[in-house]
Formats: sequence, structure tokens, C-alpha cells
Amino acid sequence: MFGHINKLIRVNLTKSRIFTENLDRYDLKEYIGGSGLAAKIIFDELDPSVDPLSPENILLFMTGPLTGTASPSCGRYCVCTKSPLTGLWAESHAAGFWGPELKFSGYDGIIIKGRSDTPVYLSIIDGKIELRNASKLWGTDTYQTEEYLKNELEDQSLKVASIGQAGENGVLFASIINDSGRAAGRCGVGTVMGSKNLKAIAVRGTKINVIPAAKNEMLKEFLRRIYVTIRSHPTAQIYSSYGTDGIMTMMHEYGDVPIKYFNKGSWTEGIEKISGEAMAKSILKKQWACYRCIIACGRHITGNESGTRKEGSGPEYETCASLGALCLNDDLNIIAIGNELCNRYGMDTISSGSVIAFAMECYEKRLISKENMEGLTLKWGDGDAIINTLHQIGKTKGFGKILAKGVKRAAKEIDKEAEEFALHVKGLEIPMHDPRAFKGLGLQYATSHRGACHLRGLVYHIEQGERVPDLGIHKRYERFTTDDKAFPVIAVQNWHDIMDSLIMCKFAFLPPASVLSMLNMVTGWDMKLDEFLKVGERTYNLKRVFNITCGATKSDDTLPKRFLEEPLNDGGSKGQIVELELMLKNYYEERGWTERGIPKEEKLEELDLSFTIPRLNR
Amino acid sequence: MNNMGINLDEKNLKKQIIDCMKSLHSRGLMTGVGGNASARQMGEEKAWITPSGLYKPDLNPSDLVNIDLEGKVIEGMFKPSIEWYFHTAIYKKRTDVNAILHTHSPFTMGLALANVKLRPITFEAATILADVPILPFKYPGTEELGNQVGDTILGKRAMILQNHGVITVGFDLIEALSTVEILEEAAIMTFVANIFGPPEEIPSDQIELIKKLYKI
Repeated sequence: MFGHINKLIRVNLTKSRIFTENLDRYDLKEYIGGSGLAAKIIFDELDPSVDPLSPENILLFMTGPLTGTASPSCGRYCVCTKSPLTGLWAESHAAGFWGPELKFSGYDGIIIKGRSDTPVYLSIIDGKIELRNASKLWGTDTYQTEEYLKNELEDQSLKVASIGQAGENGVLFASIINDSGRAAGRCGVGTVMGSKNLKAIAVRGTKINVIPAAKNEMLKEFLRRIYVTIRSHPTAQIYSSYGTDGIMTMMHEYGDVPIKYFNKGSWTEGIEKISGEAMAKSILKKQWACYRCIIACGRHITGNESGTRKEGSGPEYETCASLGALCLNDDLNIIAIGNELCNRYGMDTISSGSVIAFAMECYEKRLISKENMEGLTLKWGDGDAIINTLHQIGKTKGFGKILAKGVKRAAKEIDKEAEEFALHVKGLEIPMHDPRAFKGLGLQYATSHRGACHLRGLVYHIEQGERVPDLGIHKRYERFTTDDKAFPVIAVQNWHDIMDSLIMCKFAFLPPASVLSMLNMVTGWDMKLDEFLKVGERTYNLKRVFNITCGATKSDDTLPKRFLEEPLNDGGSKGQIVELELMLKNYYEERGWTERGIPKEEKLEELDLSFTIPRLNR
Repeated sequence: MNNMGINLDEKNLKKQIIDCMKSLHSRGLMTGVGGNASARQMGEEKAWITPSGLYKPDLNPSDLVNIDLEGKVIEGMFKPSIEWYFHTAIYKKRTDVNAILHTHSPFTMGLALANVKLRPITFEAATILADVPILPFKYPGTEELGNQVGDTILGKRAMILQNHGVITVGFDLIEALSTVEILEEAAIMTFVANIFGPPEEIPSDQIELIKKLYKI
């Protein structure tokens, strides 16, 4: 096989058993790999009623056929499971070098079941798989864990994906961190890993450093000529120089950046201080690139003299917004320290910033007091309060114990009134883009299978005038319209599900037909564009069916009241609310779903998903 | 960055620099003594640069000079281009840049001399060029010029040195060369249009993302 290694690892932590199986027992042309194939495996093997933190839950680490090949921007892996935060489908992707290294070590993915009695870590080195004692590592942060394992296994090139104290302590939005700062952040995938007593997975393959392609020479020549296309996209230019935070001022113009927990639409003086340009002039040391990336959006920042900010991985846009604008904090230094803390504890920066901003609003409304916060005054913009609260959450101490449950559960424990402004979709905190600025994004958030997700679609690019002819997006879709949003949202959701199956970074803005050429050269397949695009629709529907079997209904396809009823008083989206109902009705129709949001049988049959029908009818 | 096969091997990289020089000269985008180029393999802290004082269209790969990012010669029998200051300043600031071209593109320079800035008149000009700044004159071959270029290069793919020439950068030489070509093409179009009146721009709402990102 080319592209895929054709080997999956299965680990039963309860029985300490490890075995491998061939990947080609699955129809790879139907699901490709990555999160698409993970969806098939989870649908087949997981009882949807299981408690996400029970040993019965499954945790998958998956790569795709492009991972580790010569293809650019293909250094990613995904972690899929049932989310403890939402009780639904979870997938979280991380970049860096861990994914390619897993393939170099001889495997496409790892399926983990059960729970170990004692802390363990998994080492996969040149084909040899071992479960090892991690008792000494329990209680250490992710950076320490990585360093420890590199020393213990005597290989500084080892790649480590691990949880920090947050994953051990059951913080419901715990992440998995690799390469000292790259995160599979969302949905609490680190919490599931912690519930299994699995501290880390260390991988290393010394025999190869690139996965060969079926048409190697053709691929090489193709790639040399296509780099310029990837870099021609304006975001590639801006991300290279200023990181993803380079969009901060632009998105603020649109009224898209969430300020003061989505209560304000304009904050020019603060935004300028936390922008990518400001970072480049102050704490940036150099760019950082993942495996075979020609954009290098990663930030490597300097340390400070006092030692509170250490040299290393710097914050990206979502973090600058969540620990910055969302909390009305304009101090880049605090954002950078907070980013490092989130990475070390292993906590999603989006959810972390969100629960703190939510708590700040509770504090302002006197729903929580200084006493609740063990003496902390949670005033808007208070940097010390942000840092201290992050420690409390990571350690699940004090009020952090409540905030560690995410805004949905925390609100229930705080006050009925707090539930009114706890901002989430399906239990997942809102990413750092305001759906009142881009209404298609509102529809994307409401219908995304993992809850509020900006990455399955990035539809605001389309609402900024981008065209994607291969997806049928030929015209301009204005950002405030609602009657025409179903089609573009579906098109980009399906497309991004394909990218998450390949797995490819969404910042490499290549036309789908070019990506397909790459896939065919790598695998030796002869897939056609319509067949390729159908994979995205198939996996999207499969994940939808999984969610329905977990108990999700139409009522979960919604947005918080703040977006539906409360317009902003200032900024680029002043006066706007999201008129979701009409968009949702059109979306269901366009998807071939019933009025209750359930895929119709004929749609499932058309997508070769007939096997899901009995489960739906149960 | 890792460079496992993502870019050309050293032999082909050097050949590509020579080919670029010949191509630029044959199209009148630089004179035999007026331009220079450099390129490096991804992630390297050194680059191959054209030599100073030699007639560029006649260069051989063996004439190229390998320098580190402080301008120290690692390999090569000639003196590196006097403009090594700005080449190394760019490499220090931009990990994603592996190729730099310096030309004297006549139409681009002609418009710059008249302080006419290029506007988004074609889709390529808008997406590829972004804002092309015209930097005030600094004496060629000086550290001062190097610092000026280094301080400006973030977010830019091309810039114009007033009364001097053009700099373009890219992940590889193909990208840097394409940018020289698009810049000169846009300059010629602008020049022609200006004979009859100011050039028409692409309507803002059609290239909204580009204009807002690039702040043009």
C-alpha cells in the first residue's frame, strides 16, 4: 500500500493487551482515513450510551494517507472519541511532528479501549509497541513529560503526545499536547485519555523519514509547482509573518472578535495591543513550522527576565482572543503566560478563556463573589485573576473545580440566571468568532457535529467573498444574509471533513481538485472529483447519525440566546442577531434530512450508509 | 523546519539561481551587473548568493558564494554580492523565505520613481503583490539598507528600494520569480492605463478578504 502503512494498533488497557491488524479491512476509498475512518470504527464498535469517562469508551489516534508523505501541510493527526463535554462525537486535531512519526514507526493509528489500573504510557518505536509504567510521571505537566520520556528512552527525537494535570484531574476540556505546545485541544479528548490512566504515547521511527508515494517522482514535480499556489493565498502571507493572530485587526473590523464575553463589538485600543503585528514587534522570536509546512504560522516567543514567561511556543489567534479580548485583557504577556499554562496543564485555550470570561460576567452580575473565588477578584481585564484562575482550573482546586466542568455545567451549579448567558453549543464553548458577524458561521456552529466548531467549514472565508469553484461556490455570499447560506455551509463542512480524513491543514488553501491529484499520486488511486467530494458528505452524515444515537436532537442544533436575541451596540456587526430558524430549515432540506434533522433513509442509502439505518430506527 | 526532500538538492538549487539570473537578464528585468539573487535550503542558516562584480548572465554554479547569516563566506572563490546585508536580514526575519531576487525591473522602477504605487488592478496583482512599499533611498550595499529591508519584510512579498531596484522573496525561487513577473506586468498595465486615465481597480466587494487582510 502507498500512503497508508496498513497497520492499526489495538490496545486494551484493562487487560494490558496489544495487537495489530491490517487497515485494509476497511473500505478506505469510502472513508479515506483520519477522522472519517475513525467515525466508521467508532460507529461499529462503540455503544453510544456509554459514559465517556468509563473504560468502555474508545479513544482513537489516527493519521491519514497524506500524513508523513511529501505532501505539504500534512503533519497532523486526530484524536476521536465520545466527548465528556458534549456526550457526542469528539474529534480534535493537532499539528507538529507526532502524526508523521507515528507512521514512520510503522502504524496508521491506535485504537485504545479499557482502563489501566495504574498510570501507563505507550511507547511505539520502530514497530515495537510496549505499555510502560508512568507512575512517576503522574502529576507532571506535558512539557515535563515530554522531556522525561526523551531522557528515559534516550532519544531526543522522540515525539510525545501527553496529558498534563488537567487530564489527570478530570478537567472536562483537557487537551493532548505534543511538540511542547501543539494541541489536540477541543472536546476533552485529554480527559478521556486521563480517565484511562494513559499518560502519554511516545513514538519514533528511525527507518524512514518520509512515507513513499505510489507516483513519487510525479508527486515531487507536482509539489514543486504547487507551493506557489499555496503561498499565493493571502492568509498564507499574513500567517507566515504574523501567525494566525495576524487576522486579529481585520476580524475586529468585521465585529467578529468576541470582546467582553461577546458583550462588546468594538475595542480598537485593546485589539491593537494583542494583534499579530504587536506580537511580531514585541515577544516574537521566530516563526515555527510543522512537518513539511511552507507557511510557518507557528510562533516561537521569547522568555522574560523575571522568568514568568518562558521561551517557547507562543499563542495563536484563538488564544489571543480567548485569554485576551474575551476577558477584556490587552496584555500580550499575560496571554503568553496563560497560553503556556494551558499547554502545560493540558487544557483547551478556547474553553479555558471562555470559562474565565463567563466567570467574570458572573462576578460582575454578583452571581459569584470574592469568597467563591478564594479571594480572587474576577474583574474584567485582570491579568492576575486570569493566571490564578487557570491554575485553579488545572488543579481543580477552589472555584476552579466548578469551572473545570465547562460553562454549561458550571452555570447549572452557579445560578439559573447564569445559564442564560453560558455560551456554548451542545456543551462546547464558542470559538473566537462571533456568529452575528457572519451568519453562515452561526449555522455552522449550530450544526457542527462536535458542538460550536469554527474549523469544520471556516465559512466566514466564503462570507468574505472567497470562491471555491470545485465546490460549486461561484458567487459572493454576503455575511448578513440568511436565505442563501445552507448550500455554502454544507459545501465547506463536507470539504473540511475530507481534509480531516486526509489529514491536511486547512491553512493550505488548495483547490479540492489539486488535493485530489495529490491523494491519487500518493495512494495510486484513480478517484474522481465527485467520488472524492462524496466522501465528505458520507462522513459528515455518519457522524450525524452517531450523534443521534447518542441522544442528540434538533433542539441541540441551536445557538445561545445572546446570538439569537441580543444585538451588539457597536462595532462591525452592530445591530445584528442570527436568524437561525430559516437557515436551519433550508440546511436540513439541502442535506436531505427530515424536519427533525435526521438523515432520510434514501440519503443514507445514496451515501452507502444503509448499515446505519437499523440503529436510527431503534 | 525539516527539509526532507521538500526542496531542491544543492546542485539543482545552484543551477536554479543561475537560470533565474539568465532569465531575468534576457527579459530586460536586470542588467548584467545590476541585480543579484540568493537561495537556501529550507531551514538552513546559510545561503548561496551571486558574486559581486561578475557579469550575471555568464555566471556558472561554481561562481556562487555560500555565506552564513552574518555574511561570512563559508565556500566560494568570489566576494558575495554587496547586498548580502539585506539578503541575510530577510532570512533572519522570515523562516518561510528561502529565495530572494533583486532586479531593476524598468516599468516597476519607472512608476516608483514617479511615486506611483501599484493598486489591485488584476486578481493576481491583488493576491500576490499585496501592498508593495516604496522604501526611501539608502546607499546600496550598506548595513543601513539591510536593516531598513529587514524592518519592513514582515507581511511583504515584494518591495521597492527607491532609486535602486526591486526585491522579491519566496518560499522558493519560483515564487520569487513569479512575483517579479507579476509586479512588472502590473506596472506595464498601470503605465499604459495612465496614458489614457487612472486605471480601473477591481471592485472592493469582489476582493474583500484580500483587501482587508493586506490593508490595501
